[in-house]
Amino acid sequence: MSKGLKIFLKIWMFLGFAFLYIPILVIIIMSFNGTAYGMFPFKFTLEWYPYLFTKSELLPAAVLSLKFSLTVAVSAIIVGTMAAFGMQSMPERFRKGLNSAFQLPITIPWLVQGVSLLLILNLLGIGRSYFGMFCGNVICVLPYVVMLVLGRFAMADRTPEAAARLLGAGPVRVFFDITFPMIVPGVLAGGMMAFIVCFNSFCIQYYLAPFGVRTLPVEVFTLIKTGYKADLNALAALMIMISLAVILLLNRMGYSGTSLFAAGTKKGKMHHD
Amino acid sequence: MKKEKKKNPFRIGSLWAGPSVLMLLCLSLVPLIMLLGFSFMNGNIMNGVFPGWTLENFRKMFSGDTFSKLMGKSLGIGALVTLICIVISYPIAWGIAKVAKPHNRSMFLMLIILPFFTSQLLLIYAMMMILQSGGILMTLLNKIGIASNGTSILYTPRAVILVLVYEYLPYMILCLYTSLESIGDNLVHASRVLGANTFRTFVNIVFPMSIPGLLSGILLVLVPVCGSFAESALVGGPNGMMVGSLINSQYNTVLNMGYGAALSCVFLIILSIIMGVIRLLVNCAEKRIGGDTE
Amino acid sequence: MIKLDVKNIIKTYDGKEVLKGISFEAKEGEFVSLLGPSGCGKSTMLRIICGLESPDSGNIIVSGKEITSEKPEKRNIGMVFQNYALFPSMNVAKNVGYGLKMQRVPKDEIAVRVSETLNLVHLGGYEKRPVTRLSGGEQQRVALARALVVKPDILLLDEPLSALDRKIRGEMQYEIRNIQQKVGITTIFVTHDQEEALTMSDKIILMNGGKIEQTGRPWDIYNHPESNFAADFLGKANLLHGELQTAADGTKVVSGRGWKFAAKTLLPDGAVQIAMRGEQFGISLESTEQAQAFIIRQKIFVGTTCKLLGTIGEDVLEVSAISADMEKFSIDDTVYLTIKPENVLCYRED
Repeated sequence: MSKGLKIFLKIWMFLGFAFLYIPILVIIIMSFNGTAYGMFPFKFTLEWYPYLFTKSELLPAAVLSLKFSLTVAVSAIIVGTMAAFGMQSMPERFRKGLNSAFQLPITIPWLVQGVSLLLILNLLGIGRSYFGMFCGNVICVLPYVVMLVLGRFAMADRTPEAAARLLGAGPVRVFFDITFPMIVPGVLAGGMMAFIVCFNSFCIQYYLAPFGVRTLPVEVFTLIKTGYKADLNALAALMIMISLAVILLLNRMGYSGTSLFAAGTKKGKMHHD
Repeated sequence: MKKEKKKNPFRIGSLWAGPSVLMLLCLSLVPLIMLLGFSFMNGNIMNGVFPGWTLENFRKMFSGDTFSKLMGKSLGIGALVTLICIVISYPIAWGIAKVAKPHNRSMFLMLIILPFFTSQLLLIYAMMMILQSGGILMTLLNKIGIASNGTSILYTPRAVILVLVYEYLPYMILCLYTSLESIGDNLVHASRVLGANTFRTFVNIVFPMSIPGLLSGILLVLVPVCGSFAESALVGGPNGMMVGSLINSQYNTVLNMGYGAALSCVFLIILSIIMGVIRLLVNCAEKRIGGDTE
Repeated sequence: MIKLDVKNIIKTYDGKEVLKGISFEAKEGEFVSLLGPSGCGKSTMLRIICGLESPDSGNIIVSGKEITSEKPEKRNIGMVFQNYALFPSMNVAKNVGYGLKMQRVPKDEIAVRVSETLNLVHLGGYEKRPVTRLSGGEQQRVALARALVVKPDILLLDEPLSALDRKIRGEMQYEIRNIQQKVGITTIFVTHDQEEALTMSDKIILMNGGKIEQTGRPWDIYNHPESNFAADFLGKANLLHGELQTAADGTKVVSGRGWKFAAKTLLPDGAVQIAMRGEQFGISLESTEQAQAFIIRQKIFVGTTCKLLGTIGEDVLEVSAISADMEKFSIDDTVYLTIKPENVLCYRED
């Protein structure tokens, strides 16, 4: 590869990363800015952070999102792991078909998914509700869990399970002693993905949240539309830090950016053809 | 005597997948199918009371040109955003895959995937901060003399495009990266050794092998972008409406859910057709290129 | 005493018959190899014996008891898998002791038996090691220990040595055989490597395409292969076409394109295929009456032997010589080959 090309690529990459990160860095810097509306001149201050935790409207929304996402993630882990496990006992073709079917909630625009669910809930008389929001979020994060756990199954060596059976272990023992330890990384990664996606999921919550209930994304949306509050910067900075921590953690567990990404999008489907 | 055992390919274990299949049906498949039914609905469903059938929704959609204009605009914006993402992403993806040192690679990938884990709203907000008049970008441009003080590209369709590119660039980069990474280094070397310059190496070797990743990237970007409404609501201004905004307003402002359902249906159908066509085109291209190199 | 009796096993996969009616026996303490090329069904046979697959028809009988429909966990059969299948989340002791734990053996007894078996496989002191840190050979011994510690009726080994490099493989062949004889357990060993089978077995069952081609002791099969498949599979054989004729004095001669060999066979006259092992030729620089002229075209040094490739008449032949003799022969030399009539194996053309 010629020198010139390399330099060109490096510059381009630098610009690309700059483009991606300058806004984020600006936010983080602005979270320390005392001037209203994030304008110049820049006055350094730490006041927004304590404000965030005490008087801000964002705090209750953040806590709600946290609790809600945790519930959704746990449910998704349970149902998704069961699904991946069940799919191991299915014939090949059916498993592939079901795998593709599970992609549906993330293949179609979330707008349509949310709207169709809302209509049904209205028809049933339930309408906007915690239950509805829960359902909507679970179905949207379920594919991530299923794909990550299935991925684990796919790359795992299944012969130890056969060995255990020959040593006298019944199906239940085989699952707890051998199978489950094998898929735990997938389950954990799936859970984390589910948590984060639900935490950030604006579309579904916007349509299905009960009136007056504001999860964090919805709250942020409203705030951006109606007015600006500087503590938003502080919140954004914090959330970015937390996301970074989660990514580092997942990386430690052996999940590179691409494997997570492949699980979280239809890309996995492409390569199954 | 041969034992005739009818082999059931489904073992009992498949039942574990039951709850998830049930959820999938009830929460995703059935609602989507019923969306079609709801399109014929007159107005809103409140508290379980069904308002009645009508063809009005479809008539409304196809009589005026609001829908077709918006659909066209959304598709146009989708295509533009996708194109911009492709052009920006190729060198970056290639750079990470081939030029960056291997131990740096995972760091780069983590940096790319970080926005993926951040709420889309925060990303929009971050962009807004930069774009607003009096904010960084405008102040800078003002100093250089390009833009006048007090204006900004915020609240214009341009802002929508910019924000969408910003949001979806990581997706495209990662999709392309996965494809490009799998291209063996030897292939490029072999091509150079045989006399091809950079451009021809790209066109003949690199590009064809990156098509799967390209396809995923296109699908991942085009679909959400066409269906987006938050971006246009926040930064689009009066001219920035897209199909998504129209659908959204049916549910939150105007409250004509039947019409909204009809819009969603048609939108989904159009999008599926486009996706199908793209897939077909790419499959054809792949086969042809595969055939040429045979 | 017959320990394992396999009766007429038939197995079909996706419409293809993988096992076409396999029957064989193994006596108590016998080391039996299932030998054959990839895809001949030998691994499937093993999986049927231990219960991981069920046959379409046929019976498996162990110590007189029919176990064809028993679940794998109830069969008390030990198996060593090709990739060892050790439990990655457990250390060596826990791996080896797993079967005993399933049998609800008390903890102290487990520790004792595990320790004994580890000593047996020369891994004494390895109890606490994580299995992921072991070398290939060590992992293999752990797998063997794990299978043996529960004192199974039968031991099954599914190409256990194929993942090891050559030197270790040779060592493990002897070790496994020694351990097997020490413990006295009936063993079925699957392999595609004929040398391995010849080295280790009491009895070889040669399989091809789902059927048994030949059964017998290593020496017998090697020297008296009953088909050209058997002849070619076990050791390299030169396969030539010729015409068999009986002379007036009763001797039989096979003539080919420019060569003639005396053969000992019961086949009637006619077109035949003959198989001759390269190492069974006598090579001489002087011509004798029965000898056939052989022109050397290529000399290949293989270590302990040297292969001479050349032509007799119009056919190609590969002959083995001891490396020490290599100097005597050069390319384009003509040498003279003799072979005993009983080593010229004749088969009907098929």
